[in-house]
Amino acid sequence: MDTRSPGKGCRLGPGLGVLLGVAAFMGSACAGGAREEGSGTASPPPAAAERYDRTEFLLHFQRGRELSRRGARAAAEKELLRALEIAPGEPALHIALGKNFFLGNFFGRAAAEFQRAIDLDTHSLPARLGLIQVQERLGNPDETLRVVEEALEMAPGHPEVLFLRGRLNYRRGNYPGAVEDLRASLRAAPGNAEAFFHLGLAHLKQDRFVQAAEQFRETIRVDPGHLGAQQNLGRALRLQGADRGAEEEEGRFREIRDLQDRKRQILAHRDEAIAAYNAGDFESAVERLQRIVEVRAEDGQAATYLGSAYLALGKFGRAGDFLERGLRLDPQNQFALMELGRLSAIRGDYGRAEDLLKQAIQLNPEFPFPHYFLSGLYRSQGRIPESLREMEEFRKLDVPSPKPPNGSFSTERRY
Amino acid sequence: MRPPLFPGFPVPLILALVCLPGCGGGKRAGRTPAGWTDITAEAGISFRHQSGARGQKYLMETLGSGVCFLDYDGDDRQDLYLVNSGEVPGVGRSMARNALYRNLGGGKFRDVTAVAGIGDRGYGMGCTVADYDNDGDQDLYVTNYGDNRLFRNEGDGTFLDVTVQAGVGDPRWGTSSAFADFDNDGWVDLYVANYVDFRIEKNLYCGEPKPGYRTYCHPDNFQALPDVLYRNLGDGTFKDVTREAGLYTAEGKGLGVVWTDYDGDGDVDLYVANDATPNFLFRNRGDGTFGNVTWAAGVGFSEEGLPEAGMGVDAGDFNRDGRMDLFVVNLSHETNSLYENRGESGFLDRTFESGLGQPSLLALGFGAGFLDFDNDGDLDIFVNNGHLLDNIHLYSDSVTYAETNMLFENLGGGRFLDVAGKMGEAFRAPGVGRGSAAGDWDDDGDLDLVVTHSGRPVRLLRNDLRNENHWVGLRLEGTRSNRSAIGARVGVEAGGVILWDEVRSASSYLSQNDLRMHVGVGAKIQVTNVLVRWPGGLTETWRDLPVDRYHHLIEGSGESIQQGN
Repeated sequence: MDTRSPGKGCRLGPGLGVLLGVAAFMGSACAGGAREEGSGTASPPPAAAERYDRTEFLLHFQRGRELSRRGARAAAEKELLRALEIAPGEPALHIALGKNFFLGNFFGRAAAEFQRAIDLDTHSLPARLGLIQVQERLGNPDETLRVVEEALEMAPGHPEVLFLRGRLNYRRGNYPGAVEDLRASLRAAPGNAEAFFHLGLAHLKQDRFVQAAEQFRETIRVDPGHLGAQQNLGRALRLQGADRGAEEEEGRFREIRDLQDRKRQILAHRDEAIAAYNAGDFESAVERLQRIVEVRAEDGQAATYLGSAYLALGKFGRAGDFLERGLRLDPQNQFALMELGRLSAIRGDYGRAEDLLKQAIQLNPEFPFPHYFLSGLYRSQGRIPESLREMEEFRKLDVPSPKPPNGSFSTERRY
Repeated sequence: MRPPLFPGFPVPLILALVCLPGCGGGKRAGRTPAGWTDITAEAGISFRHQSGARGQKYLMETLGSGVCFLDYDGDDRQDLYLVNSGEVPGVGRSMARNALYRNLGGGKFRDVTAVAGIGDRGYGMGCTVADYDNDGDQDLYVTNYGDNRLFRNEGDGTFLDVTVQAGVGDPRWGTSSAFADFDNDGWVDLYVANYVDFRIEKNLYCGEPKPGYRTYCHPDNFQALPDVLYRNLGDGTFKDVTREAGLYTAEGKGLGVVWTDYDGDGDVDLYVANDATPNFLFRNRGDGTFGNVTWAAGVGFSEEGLPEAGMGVDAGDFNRDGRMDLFVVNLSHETNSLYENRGESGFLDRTFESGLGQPSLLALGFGAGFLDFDNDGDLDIFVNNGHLLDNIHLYSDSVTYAETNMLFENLGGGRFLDVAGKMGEAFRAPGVGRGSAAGDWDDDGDLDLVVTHSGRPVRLLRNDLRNENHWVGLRLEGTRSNRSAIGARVGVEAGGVILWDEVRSASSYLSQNDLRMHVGVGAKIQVTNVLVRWPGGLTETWRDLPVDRYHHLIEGSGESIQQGN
């Protein structure tokens, strides 16, 4: 079955009126393609595929994943559950739901979704990788190990799974086991900073300070901002009596930390501001983003969000100022280009709107939303064939979620 | 040149005595039946913490409060001081007050707050106890969101508020505080941790913008407040010496404090647990100043190099190597941290391999401390858990607001196991844990616990394990040193093993343990030697002390040990 064929499931009309609301933009990611990265379970079983409207399913699936990636967990859950109603036997959906719950700190529900995916597809490695990480976060080392062993049976020598078992062995105090697994993982995938780091820790705990220092240096080579490696390199040197070298490394650790601290102070408010924006609370978003751009004038993304929030509130003058600023700070900012295109359309400057939206598409042809707005723009001008073409492009686009480093999820810091 | 570690005891000999072959013989002599009993109501304690929470999510509402063991009337029974919060200042008029419960003996307490004149109505946080004026009775310092208070014990069952004349009424948001004689001049000084610059009028909205989803804001949203070191001038007044002592920093959001001589050089050092900012270790240079050795010692961050949400803290020699290790409890989705003291080269994070990491991942610890709950001769660990957010269920399905306590038994070999599940229903009853203190309030030779809960009643948990292990209790009294003997380092030798500990004032979270030292000795029936290095420098020994009783050791009354002997 062609998973990219346009279908009847995309209900949102492309009229220019839609362009006025950012919320509409957020909710109109009508694109297809059920691709689960690295899963090997990309397509549902043929029998299942024949039973439902594939396009409708893909619409909700892709929209849900995109919303999840953007941190709009509740909206993502709604979309994914809608997709689940359409295709109840789809393992990839349960994996997506599991990830969404994991990112939202709902580990119990995440575990249940990953387990369901395994029940539906007993050979699913992505589901097991998800389940391993959930069980780790739940503090269940025995269950984690059980799933890790299952995963290794399915994929012997898989570097990610070997890394996870190595880390687990380290945390259980089984240092020889940790060293063995982590070395094997690094032989297969030599660029994994976390594997080097945990190998260093395993050496450190066995009082092998020289070997530990070597591994921490390797970690830093792969990831120069690795705080744990930088800190523990100082410790390893200190413990071998190399005080001078230790002081230098501790100094570097302090420098990196200080820099990150300053960023963190700003980001604490920034995350809240963006969360408010994503939740549609534009007044609150504006209040917070305004403070951020005052202290961090170089933050093009914050300026763009601020401009977009002003746009949603109908304050077009300020919207233009901040969107232009965001674009000036980051000329590759496709979101700023798109929002400026919308603003130009609202102001009746269709020529500039078209130009800006095309620029956004040129920068990232896989970014679906400029196609959507361009379609609306053409339609409002009576350019129906062009409008239909853009809408088709919009529908065809698959927007895969970026794969996190080392297959790990990240979570925002909060209580 | 600094004086040697223990005058008269060559270091190799001390280390040899720490754990001689066969020292494991001190372990449990009899069966350990499970059981802690919640004796609160039966004991006559009706204290309930009030937070004043009304839905506006003022940050201080979720952080109180603490509890201190003290013997305020000198009858050798442990009384209780419980700190209350009440209505948020500027929002409501508070009727809540702190409470002093006198231990009447026979398992009963009586609320004597009014008579004692110590019912502070500030928005209370924590407390610490010591005889700051060396007049033979225990005084009390109380931290508040607002002016802190120093209550001088008048020796007649009453207290007098001497905050203003003593000069210790810091008006900022004080949390944990602790007395110790940092300059060994015979007078206890006072360290007060301050948290963040939170103001009612600048409260933020945090959490999702939906009804019921408002949460307390993360401390990243507020500026840290510097802590304060007050030097006791010996005339009833204190002087803020924070800057000249080298302790001034505006980078820590202090919640937990413990004084401990981590480097064994005879003066107390300072460890501060900070929330969402690096913890601090300040090494006492012995000249009235401190050096921040956090980075070199490796005790400021998690193993991943990240600052954690330090809450409660304690020091203790968990591996019986004669060095004081550190334990800090943190937020859920972080682990608690155990730092092993490796001597000159600093500390090593032993969290995961000790077995303390995984079980603490979902818990949010506040009160915490080392204690030998089963008298088997090694230090176990207690943690009082409870989440910060009363609506955490909206944000997580694996973390709850009310949480259960944890009790980690020391298995030896650097390993711990949570045995709370075997300790009886009362011990495991969920609560919104905050402060905690250990003390033998019924003088039966095992350590009991008192745990506070945000917005809920306090719990007095009686240790009813009643195993056959032996113990010795020591009440130290300084003469040249500060009278509370805070900072004294004590080695209890029994069966060829020396168990080291220190007399400390506050630790844990906002709280203070029984000032008496309690040492389990397992099957040994004789303490062959008690070695005390007093803060003033004198080292003495007491020989052949019988077990299963308390001993009163007065500085100058033991057998003095001269350097080189």
